[in-house]
Amino acid sequence: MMKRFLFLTAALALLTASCGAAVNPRDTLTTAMANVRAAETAGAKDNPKAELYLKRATDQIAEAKKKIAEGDKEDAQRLAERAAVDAEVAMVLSQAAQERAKAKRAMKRVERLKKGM
Amino acid sequence: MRRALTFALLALLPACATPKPTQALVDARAAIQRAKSGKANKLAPARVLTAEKKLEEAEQAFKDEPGSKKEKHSAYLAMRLAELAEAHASLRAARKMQENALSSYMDSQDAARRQQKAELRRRRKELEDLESRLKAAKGNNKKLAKLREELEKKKANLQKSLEAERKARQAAEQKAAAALGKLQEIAKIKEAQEETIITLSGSVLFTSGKSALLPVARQKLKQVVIALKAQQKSRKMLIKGHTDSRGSKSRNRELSRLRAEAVRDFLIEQGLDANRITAVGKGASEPVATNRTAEGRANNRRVEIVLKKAH
Repeated sequence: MMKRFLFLTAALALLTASCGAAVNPRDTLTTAMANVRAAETAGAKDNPKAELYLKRATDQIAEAKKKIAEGDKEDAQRLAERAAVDAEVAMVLSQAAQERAKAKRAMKRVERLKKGM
Repeated sequence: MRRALTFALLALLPACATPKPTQALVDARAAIQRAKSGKANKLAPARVLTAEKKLEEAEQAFKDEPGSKKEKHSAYLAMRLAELAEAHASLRAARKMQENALSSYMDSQDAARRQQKAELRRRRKELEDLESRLKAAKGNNKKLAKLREELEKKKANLQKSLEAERKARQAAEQKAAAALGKLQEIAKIKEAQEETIITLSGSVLFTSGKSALLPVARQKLKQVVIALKAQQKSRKMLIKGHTDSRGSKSRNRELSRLRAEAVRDFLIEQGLDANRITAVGKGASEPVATNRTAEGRANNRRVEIVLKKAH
């Protein structure tokens, strides 16, 4: 559910971005920051590969904020969009890693059960 | 020369006019290609499609304005979307693995449960068998108890009859002893190691020189028969006739034999076993007293019934 929601917001952000003039980088930035939090919750800091994407996202968020302060809305929007998708990749990567670990544990349990028979 | 130069320039021109795509676009193309040829194409096709669309945007931007921010930006996003598709694909794969593990776990559990059930059924059957065997054994025990009771009864009966027999024997022995006691009144009885000798005086049995039994002798001999019959077992009997030393030897031997035979015949007549009785005449050869006095000679005239001890 959460995943779908994130995807929709990201898609929405990309759509609005493509509209050019009517962009509001703050909205996209909010999405990006939400994605960062979601990635952290998913354990992105414990996964080296995901952490890389997370770092890229936070760096770009900082950059985007700077651009907003400078009044460069277009660059700010681009940076926010990139941050949002980077954070999402970080989140899904950590989720996948955790699910793989769970799957491994489940398979081990099956092995044990089969051996016990 | 000039024409050649213009040719060369013309040839160079399209090379210059064809701009190089940015590194971001090159990377994005590779990423999309990877996603399309990998498991993402199967497990997250919609996401791959989204990435491809973004790549198209980048390609368009590259055509419209090569090297522009738009090209780079769209390429960046396209690449990330491709990576996102791959991440989703591996998430799906991991979940699928979990589902598979779960279902095979449940299958195994089912199998284990079935095995347990079978084991339970087997145990239950074992128990039932045991119970029925126990029941049968109990039945056998009952039969055995009955048998034992019968045996005890038989044993008691046997003991009773043995006791009765013992008493009967005792009574018979007493009777025999009593008969023997009575006999002592009319005859001399001598118990020896191997035999019992009943001595009957000759003058009581016969008239002088004869071998026919006197009537009174018959009565006395009947008492002897009673006593003998009262004995437990019929014993071998030797009947010996004796005389005193007066008269000829051969005559005495003959008379003593006839007299012994007369006694034997009477005993047989009274029901004693003929096969067990022998009669012999001893004449004057075995005196028990002196033949010089009348009393001694009277003692020597006698019939002895020798009862052999049974072995």
